[in-house]
Amino acid sequence: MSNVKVVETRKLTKIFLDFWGRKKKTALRALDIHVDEGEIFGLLGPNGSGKTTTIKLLLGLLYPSEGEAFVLGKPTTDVKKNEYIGYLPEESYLYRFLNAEETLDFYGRLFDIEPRVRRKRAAELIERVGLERDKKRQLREYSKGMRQRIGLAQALINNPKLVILDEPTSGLDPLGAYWMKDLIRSLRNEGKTVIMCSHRLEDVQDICDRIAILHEGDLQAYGKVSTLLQDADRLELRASNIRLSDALKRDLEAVVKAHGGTLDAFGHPTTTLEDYFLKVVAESKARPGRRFLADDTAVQSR
Amino acid sequence: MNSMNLNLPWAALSLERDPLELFQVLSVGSTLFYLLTVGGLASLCAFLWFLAGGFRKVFALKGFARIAVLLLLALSIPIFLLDIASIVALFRPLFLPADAVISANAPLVPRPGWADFPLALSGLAAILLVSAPFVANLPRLSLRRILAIANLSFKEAIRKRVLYAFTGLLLIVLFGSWFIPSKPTDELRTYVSVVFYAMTVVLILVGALLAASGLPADIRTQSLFLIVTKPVERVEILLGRLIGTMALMTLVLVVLTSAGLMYIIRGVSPDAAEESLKARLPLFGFLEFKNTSSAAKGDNVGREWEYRGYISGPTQSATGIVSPEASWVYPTVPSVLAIRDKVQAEFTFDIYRTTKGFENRGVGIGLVITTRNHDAEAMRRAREKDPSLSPEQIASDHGYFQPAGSVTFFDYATGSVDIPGALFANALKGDPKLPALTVRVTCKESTQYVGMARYDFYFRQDDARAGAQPVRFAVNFFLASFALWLRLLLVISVTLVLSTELSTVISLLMGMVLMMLAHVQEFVRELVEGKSAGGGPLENIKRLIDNSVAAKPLEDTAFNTLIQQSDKVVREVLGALARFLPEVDRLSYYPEYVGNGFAIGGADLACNAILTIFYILPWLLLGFYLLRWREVAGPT
Repeated sequence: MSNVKVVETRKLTKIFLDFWGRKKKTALRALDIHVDEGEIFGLLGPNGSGKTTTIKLLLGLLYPSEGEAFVLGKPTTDVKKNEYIGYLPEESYLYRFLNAEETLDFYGRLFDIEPRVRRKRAAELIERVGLERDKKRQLREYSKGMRQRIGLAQALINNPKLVILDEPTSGLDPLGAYWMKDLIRSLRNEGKTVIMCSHRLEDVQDICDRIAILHEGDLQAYGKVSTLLQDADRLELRASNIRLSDALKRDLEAVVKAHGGTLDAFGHPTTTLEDYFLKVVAESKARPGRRFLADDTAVQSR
Repeated sequence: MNSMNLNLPWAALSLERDPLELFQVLSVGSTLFYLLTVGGLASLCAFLWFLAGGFRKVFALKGFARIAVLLLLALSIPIFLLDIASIVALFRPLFLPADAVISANAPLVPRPGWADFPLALSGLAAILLVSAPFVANLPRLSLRRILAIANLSFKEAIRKRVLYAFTGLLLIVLFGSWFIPSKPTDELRTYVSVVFYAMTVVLILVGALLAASGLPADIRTQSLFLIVTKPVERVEILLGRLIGTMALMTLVLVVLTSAGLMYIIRGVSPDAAEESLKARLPLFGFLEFKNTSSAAKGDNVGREWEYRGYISGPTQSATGIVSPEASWVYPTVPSVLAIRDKVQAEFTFDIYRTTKGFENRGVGIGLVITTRNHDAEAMRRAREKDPSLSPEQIASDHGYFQPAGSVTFFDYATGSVDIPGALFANALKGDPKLPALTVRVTCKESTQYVGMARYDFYFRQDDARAGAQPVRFAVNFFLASFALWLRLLLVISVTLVLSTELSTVISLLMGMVLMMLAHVQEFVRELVEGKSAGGGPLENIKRLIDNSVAAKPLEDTAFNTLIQQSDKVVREVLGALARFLPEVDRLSYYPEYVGNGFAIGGADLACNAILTIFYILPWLLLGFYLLRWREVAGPT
C-alpha cells in the first residue's frame, strides 16, 4: 500500500429531492474518507445506510448535493476518470442478448481499445473467470454465478487501477464466493485498488484492509480492520500439538491469575463453516462417488 | 388534325403547397425565421438556466471562456425580451374587446423586416451560447464508441425479434390484390398507395417504439450504469442509439422498398404498366386568371376543397361578351424541348356542371399557346398571304399554336395535346424579360365551369411516347422511399430525445402526437387563423353540449364572451406552438408523385432533407442536455 489517495471525499453529501424540489431523504451526510492506492477498502452498513449511494457518487451515476469527491485526482463528474475504473454492480446489468465474447468486446470498444488488444484481453479474462466453455452462449442462459463472473470480467477489460465492486459475493454459492474473494485478493496483489461494499461481514473481514461503516448516511467507524476489531482487554493464545487436560487448565489459570487476569474460555478452536464446506467439497471432488450415511458418521464409497 | 388523346390514365398532382426550391430554403427570410424561432427558444432556456443557478458556473469560469459566455448572454438579451413580450402577448386577447382583431390572423412565417436582423443576430448569439458545451464536447467523441452503441442497438432489435413485426406486411402481399381495382387506369396508383401506406405505418410505429424503448429500458434494467461508468460521453449514447436504430430501419426500408417495387412491377397488368409505369418530368408554369372574381383564385363555385379556381364559359356583361380565362405563364423554357419534333402537354381539369349536359360528353375548352415573340397582326398578314401555312410553321415563325378542331376533356381523365417543338425554339428567342410562353385556356360552354390549379397543366420534358419506363419508375419509387426515411429520421430522433427523460409510453405518445399535429398542420393553421367552423376549441365544446349548429353565432352573454376570448388565447398559444411543428405533410406526399407517374423533384427532396436536418439539430441539442443533466441512478 502507498500513500497515494485513489479516492477522496470531502463533506460529500447527497440529498434526494421530490418533484417539487423539497428534501425527501438525506442519503449521505458530509462523508470524509479516502482510499489509498493498492488497498482493499470495504464499505459496510445496513440497508439504506448510504454505501451504494457513495459508490454511485464516486462513479458519477449520481451528482453530489454538497461537498466533492475525487477519483484518481479527477472530479467524479469528469468522464476521463472512467478510463481507469472497473465497476461491477450488485446485479449484473449486462445485455442478456449478447454472449460472453460479445459482451467483453462491447465494453472494450467503449474504452476505445484497439480490436487486436480487445480480443486478446477478452480471451484472457474469459479464461480467468472460467467461462471458456460457455463463451458463445447468450447471457440469458447464464446462472447468477456465471453472470457475476462475466460481470467481473467486463470490469477488468480496461486493466483498471481502481475496481469498485458492489456486493460482489451476493447471490453466490460458497464456492463462488471463495473464488471471488480469491480473485479480489489477486487484484490487490497486482497493485490495483479495490473498493467493495458488502452485507457479508465475514467476507469483508477476510479480505479488506480498511473499512468504513455507515449508518443512516453518517460515517460511524473508519479505519484498519485489524485495529477496529482488536479487543485490547482480552488476550488470545494458540498452541499446537497439545491435548485438553485438567492439569493444563489449572496451570494456565495460575499463570493468568499471576498476571492479574481471568481465564474465560479453554478448549479446541472450531474452524469456520466456510472452511469446513470447502474442505468437504474438495474431498468430494478428489474422491468421486463418496456419500454421507445418515445412520453413521462415516463416509462410504458407492 | 385532332391532336387530342384522351386515353391517358388520370394522372394529376394536387399540390396544395408549392414544391420547395433551394433558394427558398436557403433564403435570408428562412434563415432569419430559423434564427428567431430556435434562437428565441435557446435564449429562453439559457436565461432560465442562468437565473436558476447557472450564474455560479458562469462566474466560476476563467479568462476568455467567462468573457465569451457573458458576451453571448448580453447579446441574447434582446431576443429573450422579445420572448417574454411574446409570451405575455399570448394572453393579450383576454384584455381586448371581443371583436378586436388579434395577431392570430398574421401569417405563421412572417416576412422579415429590418428589425428582424438585429434580433436574428441576438438569436444566433443564444444558439451559439447553448450549443457551446456541445461543440466543446465534440473533440472528445469517439466514433468507435458511437458505433459500438449503434451496433448494440442493432443487435438488440434483431435478437429481441423486433423484425417479426414486419412479417405483418406479408399480409399485404398475400391479400393486397383483393383490394386492388382491375381498372388499368387506377391499378398502379392503388398498388403504390397500398405499399407505401403499409410501409409507413409499420416502419414509423416500429421505429418510434424502438427509439422510445431503448434508453428507458436501459435505465430501468440499469444496463446504462455499466455504460456511463465507462469513458463514454452521454451524447455518444444518444448518437449511438440514433445511428443503430436508423441503420436497422434503413436496412428494413431498403428491403421493403425493393420487395414492394418487385411486387408492384410484377403485379400490375401489362396495360396498366404501359399506361402508368413511368415518371413524368413535368414543366409547370404559374397560373393566373383573367375576367374572374379573383386573379389568383378564379371564380368560387362553392366547392369545399378550394384547391382549384374556376372559369365559366363566355358571359354577357355591360361591355359585351366576356370570356374568363386561365393562363399559365412560363418565364423560361428548357432548350431541350426546342430540338424535339413534338412536345406533349397534359392537363387534368375539374368540371363543375350547372346543367346536366350530355351523357359521355366532356366539356369543350379553348387552348392557345403563344410565345413572347408572338405578333398577332404579323401572323394574320402572313396567313392571308399564304393560307396553307402549317401549324409547325406558324409556331416556328410566329410563336403561336392552337390545336386544330375542338378540345374536349372529361372528369377524372388526363387530356393531352401535341405541341410542335418549333414553338419552344421560338420561345427561346426574344426579350428575356418577357415570359417565354403563355398558355391560355377558356371554357367554351356557357353553362359549365372548368376548375384549374397551377399543377393541372404541364409540358412533358421526358419522352411521352416511351411507354412503360420501369427503371425511371424504380428510381422514383426509391426517392419516395427516401422521403419516408426522412420521416423515420424525424420520428426516431424526436422520440429518442424525449426518451432521455420520459418513460417509453410517454415518449412514444408525445412523439406520435407531435407527428399527428404536424400532419394536420393545415387544420392547426385554420384553427390559429380563426377559420375553423364553429369557432375555437372551447366554443366548439360548448356547442357540442348545447347541441347548437356551428353557423349560428353565440348569444352575447358574459360567459360566451369569456369562452371566445379564451379561445383566442388558445389560438395564440397554438400559433406559437405551430412554429415548432416539423414539415411532415410535405414528406408524406411523395408516394402521390410515384402513384400518379410524376418524377420527384430532386431540389424539392433536397430542400426537405435540409429542413428535416435543421429541425432535428435543436432536438439533438436538447437530448444532449437532458442526458448530461440526468442522474442515471437517480429516482425515476
